[in-house]
Amino acid sequence: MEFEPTKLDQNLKRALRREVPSADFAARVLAQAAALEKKVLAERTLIVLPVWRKPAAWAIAAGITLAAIIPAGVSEYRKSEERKAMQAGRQLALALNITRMQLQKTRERLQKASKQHAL
Amino acid sequence: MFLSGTCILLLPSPVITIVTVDFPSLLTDNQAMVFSLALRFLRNREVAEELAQDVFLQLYQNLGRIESPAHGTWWLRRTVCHRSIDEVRKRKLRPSLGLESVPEPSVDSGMGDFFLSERLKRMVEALPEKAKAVVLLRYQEDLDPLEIAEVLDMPITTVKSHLHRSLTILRGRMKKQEVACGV
Repeated sequence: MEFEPTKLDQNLKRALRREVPSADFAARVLAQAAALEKKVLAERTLIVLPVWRKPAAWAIAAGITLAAIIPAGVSEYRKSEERKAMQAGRQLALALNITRMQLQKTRERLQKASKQHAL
Repeated sequence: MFLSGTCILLLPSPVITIVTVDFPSLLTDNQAMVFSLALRFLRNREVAEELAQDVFLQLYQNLGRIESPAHGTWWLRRTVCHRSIDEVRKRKLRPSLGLESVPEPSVDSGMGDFFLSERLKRMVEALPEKAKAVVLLRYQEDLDPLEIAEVLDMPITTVKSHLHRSLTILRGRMKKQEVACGV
């Protein structure tokens, strides 16, 4: 038997003919593809369901929280500032009273001293 | 949409062609090709079927990227070759044959032809992986060197060199066996 390139080509083509897989191969692949599709769909559903996984839900919750916290905070700040102003006013009035009393005492002493000096 | 993908091809003319890539059709049309290529590399029907199955599932997951049935066939051929080469390297398969992988001789084919084909098949299976892929794509899939270069991502000169060297090896081994058998 002589193996010229053409003969070898023919023999190789004959030897390397395609072989068929088992009869249920295609059915098995289709079943696996269907199972894969189901799994992907189930995973997608799971991703959609939980509220805490939705960015929009987080944004809404943050908005509501801020809307409740900010006015309360502003009001509390105003009250605190008013309290401080009242306290400062009271302290100023007290200081003025003390000063007035001190001046009164000093004036009386001066009058007494001038009377003694005249006598 | 299940088990199929649709692709709109915009041609240079104002005509819009809609090509539907149908997974079951791709599977039916290409199962023998994918399985045979895997079998020649892995030399075990069960393992080859497993790998072929994986390749089809991979195609199913990438169906949206497949533009036409011809593109699907090209994708499958390329993927099964690369996956098989990787699998062989992973398993470090040595050229050995189990009896279960040798088909029964058919009644109408001559025994000489059968044994010659078996010998050639074993010789091809014993080639290095890249050279084997080139020979399989040339003689099993009937691709020309340019197409083989595209499938295997190698320069056409390398494909031609692999082909030439493989044929020289096969021719030499066949002659050696003839001499040993006293033909």
